[in-house]
Amino acid sequence: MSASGRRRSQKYHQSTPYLFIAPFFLLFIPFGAGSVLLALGMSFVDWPLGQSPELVGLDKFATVLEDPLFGRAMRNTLYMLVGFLLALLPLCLLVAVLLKQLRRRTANVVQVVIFAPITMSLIAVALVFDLLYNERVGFVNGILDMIGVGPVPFLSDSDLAPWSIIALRIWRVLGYYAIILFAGLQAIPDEFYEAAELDGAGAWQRFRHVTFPLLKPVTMFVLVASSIAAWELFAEVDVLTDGGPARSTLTAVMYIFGASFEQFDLGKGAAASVVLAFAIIVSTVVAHRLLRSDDRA
Amino acid sequence: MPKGSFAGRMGRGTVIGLIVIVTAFPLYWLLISSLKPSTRLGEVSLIPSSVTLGNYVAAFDTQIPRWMLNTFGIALLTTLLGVVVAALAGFGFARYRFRGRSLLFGVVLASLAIPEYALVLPQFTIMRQFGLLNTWAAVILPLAANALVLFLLRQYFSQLPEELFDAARLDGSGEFRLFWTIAVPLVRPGLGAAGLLLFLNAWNAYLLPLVMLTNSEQFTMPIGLAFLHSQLNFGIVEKSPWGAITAGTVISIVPLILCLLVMQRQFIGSLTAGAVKA
Repeated sequence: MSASGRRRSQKYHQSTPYLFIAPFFLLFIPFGAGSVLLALGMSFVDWPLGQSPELVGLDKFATVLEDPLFGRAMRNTLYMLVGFLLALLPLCLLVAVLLKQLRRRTANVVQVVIFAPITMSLIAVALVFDLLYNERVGFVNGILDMIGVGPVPFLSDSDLAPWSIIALRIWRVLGYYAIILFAGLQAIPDEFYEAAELDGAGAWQRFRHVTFPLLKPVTMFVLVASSIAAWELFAEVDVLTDGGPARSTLTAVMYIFGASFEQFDLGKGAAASVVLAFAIIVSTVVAHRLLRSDDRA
Repeated sequence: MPKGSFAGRMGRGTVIGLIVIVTAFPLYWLLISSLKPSTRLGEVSLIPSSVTLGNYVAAFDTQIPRWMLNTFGIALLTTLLGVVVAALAGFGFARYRFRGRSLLFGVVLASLAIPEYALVLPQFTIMRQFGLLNTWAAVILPLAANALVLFLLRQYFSQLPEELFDAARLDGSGEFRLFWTIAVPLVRPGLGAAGLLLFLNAWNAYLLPLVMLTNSEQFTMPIGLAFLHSQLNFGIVEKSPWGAITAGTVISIVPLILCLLVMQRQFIGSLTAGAVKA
C-alpha cells in the first residue's frame, strides 16, 4: 500500500513487539519465573547459608512434613485464617450494604475514613494496636484499670493472642474490601430491587435473591484475596508476639523465615514454602468450587 | 438514597457511626500518644494534659530520617521503573500479535498465583550472588516486576481504537512514537493507578526488605520501626524508644494518608480498580 511496499498485515518490524516487552521480562525472568523455578530447585538441596548446595532429593520435604513445629505453624495459620474470614466477610458485606443506603456525600466521607488503614504498613498497624493492647501502657487496659478490671493479656495469653491478631488485621482491611463490594453493589441496577419489592420480597429476601448472586464475582475476589493474605500472615506476629505465647501465633511464613535466616537452612525454608504455596493454591481452588456449587443450590 | 423508616435510618446511622469511630479512634490515639511526654504514655484521657513535640525531636536523633529517605527512594524508584516496564510491555501485549505472545502472557498471569513470600528466598540468593544485599536495588528490582500492574496496563492499552494508530502510521510515525505521543497520554489514569499500586506496595513492604537489608543504615521505615519496637523488650524504662516509635509511625503513615485526603475518589478508585479488574 505504500511506496516501500509493506503489506497491510505488516505495519511494523517483526522485532518491534519484542523490544516493547523486553524490559519487563529482563526483570520478570530472574525475579518472577526464574525465582519460582529456583524455589522448587532449592527445596531439593541441602544448602546451609554461606556454603554450597548439595542435592538431597525429597529429604527436606520429609524434614518439614515430619516437623511437629511446621504442623503447628500450619494449623495456627489456618485457625487464624478461618477466624479472620468468618468475621471479615459478613462485616464487609454489612458495611457495603450500609454505604449504599447513605447519601452520596456522606458515603464519600465515610469511604475516605474507612479506607485509611489499608494505606498503612502492617508494621504501623501492629504498632498502633500495641498502643491499645499493651499491658503497661495500652489504652484498653488503661480503661479497664479505671473500672477495676484486668489487665487483659491481649498478646500474652495463648487463647487470646490469635484473636487479637485477627482483630487488627480486620481493622486494616475492612474498609478496603467493603468499598470493593460497594463498587460491585452499585453496578446492580435499581430495577432489580424494585421488581423484587413488587413481588413482595423483604429486605433479607432481596439480599438473598438479588444482591448475593449478582455480587458473587466480587465476593469471590474478596474471599480469594483475603485468604491468600491470611495464609501469608507474618509481619504483625513478628512484631507483636514473635510467634508466642507458647507458639500459639507461630505462622507458616514465620517458620519459613526462621528455617532460612535463623537456622540458616535454605533447603528446609524452600521446601516449607513449596508446601505452603501448594496449600494456598489448593485453598484458592476450593474457594472457587464452594461458590460455584452454591449456584446449583 | 436514604430510604426506609426513621428507626431503620437511625439503626443504620448508628452502625456506620460506630464503624467510623472504631476505624478512626486508633489513629487518633496514635497521634495524641505521639504528642504526649513519654512518661505519660499510659495516661488514659482523650485529650492529653500536656502536649509536646519532644517525641518528634527524639525521632530525629534516631536513624528515622535516614530510614524515611531510604523508604522514599526505594518506593519512588520502584514506581518509576515498574510503571515504565509495565507500560511498554502492556502496550506490546495489547497492540501487537507476535509469536509466543499468549505463552509469555500466560506465564506472567500464572505467576500471580504464586505467593510473594515464596519468591523471597530465591530472590535473596540471587541478590547475594550479585553482591547486592544491603542495597536499594535488592528491594527495587523484585518489586518493579509486577505482574498485576502489567495486566492492568494491558487492559487500558487494549481499549484504544486501532484507527488512531493507523492514521499516525500513514504519517510515517515510528512505533515508539505511537506509544509515547498517542497511547501514553490516553491511558494516564491507568498509569496513575499503576504508579499508586507500586508505590504503596514498596512503601509498606516488610518481608522482602527485612531479608535484603540487614544493615540498619539501609532499613526502610517498616523494618526500622519493628527494630525500635524490638528494643522495648529490653525494658530500660527511661531509655524506652516509645516516643520515637509513636512519632516515627505517624511520620511513616502521613504521606499516603495525605494523598488519600487530597485525591479521595481517584485514590480509592485507583487501588480498588486494580482489584476489580484482575
